[in-house]
This record gives sequence, structure tokens and C-alpha cells, in this order.
Amino acid sequence: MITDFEKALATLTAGGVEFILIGGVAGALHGSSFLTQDLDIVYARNTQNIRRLASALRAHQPYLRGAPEGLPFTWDERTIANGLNFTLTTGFGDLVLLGEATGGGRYEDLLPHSSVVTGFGVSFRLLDLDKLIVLKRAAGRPKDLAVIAELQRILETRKPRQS
Amino acid sequence: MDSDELLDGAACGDLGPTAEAFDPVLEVFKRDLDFSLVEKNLRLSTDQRAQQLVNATRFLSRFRPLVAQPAREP
Repeated sequence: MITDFEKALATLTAGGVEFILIGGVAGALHGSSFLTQDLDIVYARNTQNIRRLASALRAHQPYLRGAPEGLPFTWDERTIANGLNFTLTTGFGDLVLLGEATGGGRYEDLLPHSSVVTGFGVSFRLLDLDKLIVLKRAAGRPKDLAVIAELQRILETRKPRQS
Repeated sequence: MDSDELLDGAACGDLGPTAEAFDPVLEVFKRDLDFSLVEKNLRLSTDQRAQQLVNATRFLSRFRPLVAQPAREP
């Protein structure tokens, strides 16, 4: 199922969660024609933010995506603190929470490469196009190659030509 | 390739690969597929899938204009 992106971002924003939007949705917001299904974010790993993240998502019943039903999985601060990256399914769709992104590092590392998007009652940080391409390339997945090629073309249209 | 070659191929029954024909390049791409996403789609009705597309499209059409895009210099 395609995640309800607006609801997911509204949930995180309302919960005061510090995060940066990355992945396919970030690419689509930068103009990519590729439509993705899940929402990928990098979240800050400080104690307060882990508490906010646990609280914000609790009502949406996060569970490990692709895992068999009935596993003893509890969504709380301890689970987040003991883990790092989580691939979740929730009431509003699929959500990938990264404490650290390959090729980009942690929230604090990516913060200077992000900008704030505000509107329609939500405000969130979006990873800049340059860094998004770096992350996609670092992931090294063949399926991303077409997306990367398109993102590079978008980047070329934005930057002044070198003469 | 000219039209004669195309006709020759058709005459030999060479109409291209079948849907399930093995291709090593496709196998490489399959390694990265997260099929758990697809499985959920398959459980939805066509109407539900359409509604999700509508929601996603609405989201992008609303938020894309809010993303700053530096103008390209001539």
C-alpha cells in the first residue's frame, strides 16, 4: 500500500519529532517522476527525540514490516534506543526510520544539507537534492540507477552551467 | 535494421522474450525488491489502490511547489 504521506508527516510534526525526509518521497518532492510507496526519514537519536518518536507513533501501532504476525514487538523508547534503523508498517502506511543513513550519517550530519518545507499545517526538513543523490549512490542498488539518473538531470537544470 | 530484417525475424517466430524468460540483468534488479510492499498492494482492491494514488498525487501536487528550486542561470 502507498503510505499516506501527508498523515505520516503530520503525525511526526505534531509529535515534535526531529527528522529529515529522505528517500523516494524526497526525490519526488524535488521533481522526480518516480512514485514511491513508503516514507523514509532520518531521525535524531537524542533521548528527548526518541521519546517524542515513540510517543508520536504509538497510536498508529507500528510493527516490523514483513515480520510474521504475533512477534513480541513493543514500540517504546527502549526499543528505539536499543535499535537504530526500523522498517515499519503503521496505521498510515509504511515508514522507514533511520538512525543512520548509508553515505550520509546521522541526523546531525545531514542537518546542514536539509531545508525546511512548511505548508498545509506541517513543517518538516527535506534533504537537499545533492545529498539525496549521494545517499542513493551510496546505497548501491541497481534499481535506483534510473532514479539517480533522473535526479542528476534535475540537478543539472538547477545549477548554473560551467563555461 | 531494415524492414526486410524485421519481416525475417517475424517469419522465424522470433517475437521477443516471453514474460518469464530468464534475464540475468532482471535477476540483479530483483535482488533489491522489497516485495513486502507489493504484497500489501495485492491485498487491496483496485478502488483502494486508486484512492492511494490519488492521495499520493495530491500530496506531491501540494508540497512540490513549496520546495525551493534555485533558478538556472542563462
